[in-house]
Order: sequence, then structure tokens, then C-alpha cells
Amino acid sequence: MLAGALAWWPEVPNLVKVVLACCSIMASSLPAPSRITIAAGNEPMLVDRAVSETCAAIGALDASTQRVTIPANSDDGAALIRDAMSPNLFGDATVLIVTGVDAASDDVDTALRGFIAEPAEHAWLIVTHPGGVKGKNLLDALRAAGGAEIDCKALKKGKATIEFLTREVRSHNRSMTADAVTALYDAIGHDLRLLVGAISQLCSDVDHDLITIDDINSYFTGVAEVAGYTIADSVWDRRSVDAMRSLRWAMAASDNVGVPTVLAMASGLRAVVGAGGMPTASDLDVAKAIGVPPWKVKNLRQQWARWSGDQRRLAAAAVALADADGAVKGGVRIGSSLAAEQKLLALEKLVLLTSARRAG
Amino acid sequence: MSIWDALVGQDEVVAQLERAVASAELLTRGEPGPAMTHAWLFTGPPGSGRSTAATCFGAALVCLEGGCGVCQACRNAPLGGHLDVDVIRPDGLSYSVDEARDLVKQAAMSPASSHWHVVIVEDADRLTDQAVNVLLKSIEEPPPHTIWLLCAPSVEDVPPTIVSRTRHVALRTPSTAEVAKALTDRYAVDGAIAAFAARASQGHIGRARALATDEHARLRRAEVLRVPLELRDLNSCFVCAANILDAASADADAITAPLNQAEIEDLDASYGVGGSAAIKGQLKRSRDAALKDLTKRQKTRSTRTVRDQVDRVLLDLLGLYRDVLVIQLDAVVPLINEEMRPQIQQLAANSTANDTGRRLGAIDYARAQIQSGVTPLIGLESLMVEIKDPWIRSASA
Repeated sequence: MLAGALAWWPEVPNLVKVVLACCSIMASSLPAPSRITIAAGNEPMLVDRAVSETCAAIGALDASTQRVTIPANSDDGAALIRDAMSPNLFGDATVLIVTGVDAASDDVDTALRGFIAEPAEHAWLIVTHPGGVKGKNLLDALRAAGGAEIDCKALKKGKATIEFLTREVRSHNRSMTADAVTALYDAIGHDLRLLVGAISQLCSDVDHDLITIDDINSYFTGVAEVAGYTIADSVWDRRSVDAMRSLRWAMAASDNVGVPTVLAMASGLRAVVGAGGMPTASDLDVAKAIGVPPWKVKNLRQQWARWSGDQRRLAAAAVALADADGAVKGGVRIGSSLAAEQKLLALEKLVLLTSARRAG
Repeated sequence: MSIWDALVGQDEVVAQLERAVASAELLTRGEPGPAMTHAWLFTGPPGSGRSTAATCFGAALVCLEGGCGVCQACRNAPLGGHLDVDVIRPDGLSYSVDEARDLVKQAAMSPASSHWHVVIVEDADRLTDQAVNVLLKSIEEPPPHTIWLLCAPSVEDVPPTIVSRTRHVALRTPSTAEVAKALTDRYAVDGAIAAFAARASQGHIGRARALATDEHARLRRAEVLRVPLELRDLNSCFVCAANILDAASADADAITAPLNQAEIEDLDASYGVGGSAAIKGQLKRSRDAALKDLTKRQKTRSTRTVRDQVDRVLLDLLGLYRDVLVIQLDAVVPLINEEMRPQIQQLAANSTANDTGRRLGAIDYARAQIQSGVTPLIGLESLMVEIKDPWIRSASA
């Protein structure tokens, strides 16, 4: 998905440049780093950012700093830590990054406590901890030794993430309207890395000061995870090009497209046929009978009308739907198991077959 | 009175199993008993009584009289109340590898009050491949007192690795006369109704009993068989599909609701819910977790039951079109739905044998679809469309 989205955005190198530039701006505005830094939390994007910003801040103090990353559960972790802490030939500073200290082996634990007791002059320590009670003892010792803690906990979906995005925009010295932030979040979904990337992209590409919902729409329409219902609506509207485009987008965005799409198309078809079967009833009665909101009935009647000369194809769609449902669930006959491509092919066939105009 | 009375029209199977029980008796005294072995596979069409046969066999093995039918062991074993007879009934859609691992341990226990520890696996066709692999070793060489009895619709439904490790007991579909006789003997059903139920159920004994004793079941069946006459347009196809599913769900509910209720009451009783003091703290959390787990299992069971009921409806439809074909081909065999002869003749007159063949194929395919996981409503809608217009697939090509 990331690759797809990047390929779609114009001027990708620009994005990379901006991200790099931002990092260095932020680093220079940071307070002097502490000898020990704790990145606590399980949001990878925030952890990475905490680590890279701290490294950058340290690098600003001493340009010759070298970086060593050691997983806390590795067998030779303790030895590597001791190596990194011992003074080196040229007196260069070392940033020691120990990841996942919740799973620290006893040796690593001892080595880190050794650093706490006797911090080496030239060494800086950054540890990451995903949260939870494992390794809490060590974490408390690091805190007591004056470790600066950076909160990297995963953001809750919804409000918390939206607030984070707003702050993120502000850190670029830009502003975005509230509905634009929400629209961006809706369009991309709860993937912090993509969201942050999208914001820096917007900040660099949008010329005017305030980023509005129009900017979001012009950049992200269609990229949003397409709901099955969007595809279903296009199909029963007989807008085959739109249907196909939405389906392809949905497939690119997620592996789990088949079942929800078939279900959405089936309930759409049920509603269209249901509305078509009650041509003289009032909208309200139809809505009650087939279980849709009343405002939808008009649309359903229009969809029915689009198929009125082509009833047999609509009936064939019902058969094709069941076939596609079997296909996306792995094939009907015992022992059959369809590959992902075959499942998607079944969906594409379904969409094309049902929405295309009658040939000739 | 004998334990084998529960089986209808399976004389050969009964003889085979009686020989096995006699051999088992010899084995316990250290003499050779060639008719007995440690792993059996019971196959037979749905409703022929394969799990009944397995349970009877299990009861006869743990009965000291070799299946007298009256002692404590004979009465408790079929109800799942005998210590040495474990009945495993995969409630969900499949039987998982974890459950299979537990089962192997359970099967290794020594018998408590008899010579044999019998493990009955109903619906062995629902074992996943991994579960089968876990069981293989134990089925091939179980501990000396353990007997495996597996049940499946046909040999093709279980992996060949199981088939080659078991002795095969094939039940046949009991004849209409045998089923009718069993109904009148056991449930004192009126002769005419018994004959109808035996015909309509096509040898499925449980179904025959339901049709013979439950007025609602008869009514619902009659409604289903009117479906082909009601398919006028696309809308009516969808309405009929929804009606069939509703009826099947109602039938499934009637089966699962009392079970669910009883299981929840059992659970609550074991945690002391409803006693004088309200439970709280750790106990309450533990009970809530157990309830959540139970509800999840009940949900998969109800999904499965709905599917089974839909399948039964489709079998009824299959029977109807079989009758249509019988008339169209002037075959001299009795109709399954004799009471609907006029309607069947009308359906036969309005279509060709070729159409009927397509319809039969469509019903069969819909059964396969729904069994393999296609949403029942979608499968039924597709089927109704195909029944109305058996050549619809060529329209979409």
C-alpha cells in the first residue's frame, strides 16, 4: 500500500527531502539531550522518530558520533554494549541504541545497570521499551538515573490521532482546517507513518497558507480505502468504469477486499430488486419493507430503472454473485483452494459482467 | 429388547457388530477375537443412523452382557452418561487441532468400570487436516483398552490416512417400508402419516420422525415445495430465498435455543450465579470469560445448524425435481412427493427433461456452495434465479 501510494503521489523525491529537512529543523530546536533517553511505547513511527531526533540532537553536539543499535534479546548483546561503552581510539562519541529492553537477557540487564552506575563520558544511551510490565524494574532504574522519557504509545483511533495530526501540521509551521484534518484521516486510515508522510507532502506542495478540505480532496480522492458499498453503488448504477476503478483501488489498498465487496454487492442487489418489486408503494413503505433509510429509495428506483430493459442480466448477476462469493472464500469444490489472484479475478469478472452495457 | 433395536433396517451391520462384541468378549479373556479391532469407521447417508450405530456399539462394548439394552451401562452410554464412552461431537464448523490434541490425551485414559474405553467421533468429516494428523498415531496404535469409533457420511469424506487405519462399517439407506414400520412401532404414528414421512424423508430417520410427529415441520416442508410455482419474476426469487432462509433459521433456532439455554444455566450454576449473593471480583471475571467463550461456541454451532437446515430444504427441492424428471421420463418408480402429483405434473408439462436436469444440477451446486461457506442467502438467491430460468448462466457468458 505504501509503495502504491508513493507511486501515485507526484514528486516523491520531494517528500523524502522534506522529511529529512524537517528532522534536522526539529533536532536543532530540541533541548540538549539527556545522557539516557527512554522511548516508551509501541507505535513504531513514534519510536523511530524519538530515536532519530535524539540521535540528531546528540549529533548536533558532537558531529563525530557513531551509532550502534543492539537488540536487547540478542545473545551477544551484553558484550556489544560493553564494547560500545569502552573508549575508542579516536575518542569519538557513541550513541548506543538498545531496542526492546522488555525482553532484555540477564546479561544485557547487568550491562545496562553497569552503565547506569558508571556512565561512560563519551557514550549516550537510548533504550526502547514497548510498554507493559516486562522489564519494568530495569526501566525504573533507568528513569531513576535521570533518563528522559519520550512517550511513544500508540495513539487511540479518532480524537487522539486527529489532535496529533493537528500538532504535526503546526510543527511544519502550517495550519489546516479541522474538517481537512478529519478528511485526511478518513482518507488514509489509521496508519501514522502514512499520515505523517501525507502531511509533510501537503505542507510542501500546497502554496497557500491554510490547508483546506479542497486540497485534501484533490490529493487523496480515490486513494481512500474504498468501502465495498462504493463499489456496489457504482455497479448497480451501471457505472462500470467507476466500479472497476474503485475495485482496483480497494484491491491495491487492502488484501481483504473480496468478502466485504461481495456482501455489499449482494445487499445492494437485494435492495434494488426489492425496490423494483414495489413500483407503486410509497418511499416510506419501501424503505420499511427492505430495511433501508427512506432517502435511499429514490436512488434504488433509479438503479432499477437503469436495469429495466435488461432484467435477465440482473438475474444473471445474482448467480454470478454466489459464484464470486464461493471464489473469494477459497473455491467451492472440496479440496479446492484458490490463489489470491484468482479470487480477485473472480471479483473483477463479477463487476465487469454485471455493470457492462449489453454488448452490441 | 436389545441395544440394537435403535437401528432401522441395518440387519447386516447389526450382525457384524454383534460378532465384534462377541470377539471383544473373547479378547478380554486373552483368547483371539478376529471380529474385533481398535478403530472403526461408520459411514452412511445422513439420517441412516451412523452415530446411533456407533453409540450402540460403544454401549454394547461397555455393557457386561454385550448389549442387553436394559442395564445401567446400556441406558447411560447413548445419553453420554457412561464414564467409558466419550462422545465427541464437533459443534462448530470444524474440529481444531487443539481439540484433537486434548482428545488424544483423553483417549489414553484407562477404562473406569468396564473393559474398554470407547471414543466416538461424530462427524469425523469435520476434522481439519491438521486435527486428523494429530489423531493418526493414536488411531493406528491406541492404548490396549481404547477403541476409536469414527462417523462420516462416506469414505470419501475422510482422509485416506484414516480410512486405511480403520475397519469400515457401511450403513445403507433404510427402505421406506422399514422407516414407516419403525415410526408406527416406536412413536405410534398413524399408518398414512408414517408412510408419507418415510417417503418424504428419503430414509433420513430423524427427519422422518420430525415430519411424522411435528405438524409445523410438515407445513414448512409443504411451503418449500410450493416455491417453484411461486417464482414469477426476479423479485419473487429474492422473496422466496429470504423466506426459505427464515424458515431454516426458525428450524435451527428450535434446535439450538434449548441447548443454548441449558448450557448457560449449567455455566451459571457452576459459578453460583443466581444464589443468595451476587458473584463479584475474580470469580465474576472468570465467569464472564467463560460465558463469552460459550457464546462464541454457540454462535458457530448456530451458523452450522442454519446451514444444515438450508441443506435439508435443498434436499426436499432436489426430491421434488427428481419427481418432475420421473414424470417427464415416464419412469415407473414411485414419486417421493406422491401427494403433490398434480403440481408435479404441471411442472413437468411446462418444462423439458433438459430443463429439469439443469435445475437438479443447480440445486446440487448450491448445496456445495453453501456447505463450503457461501453466505446461505446469496446461495439461495442464486439458486432461485437458476430454478426460475435454468439457462441463465448462458445469459451471462
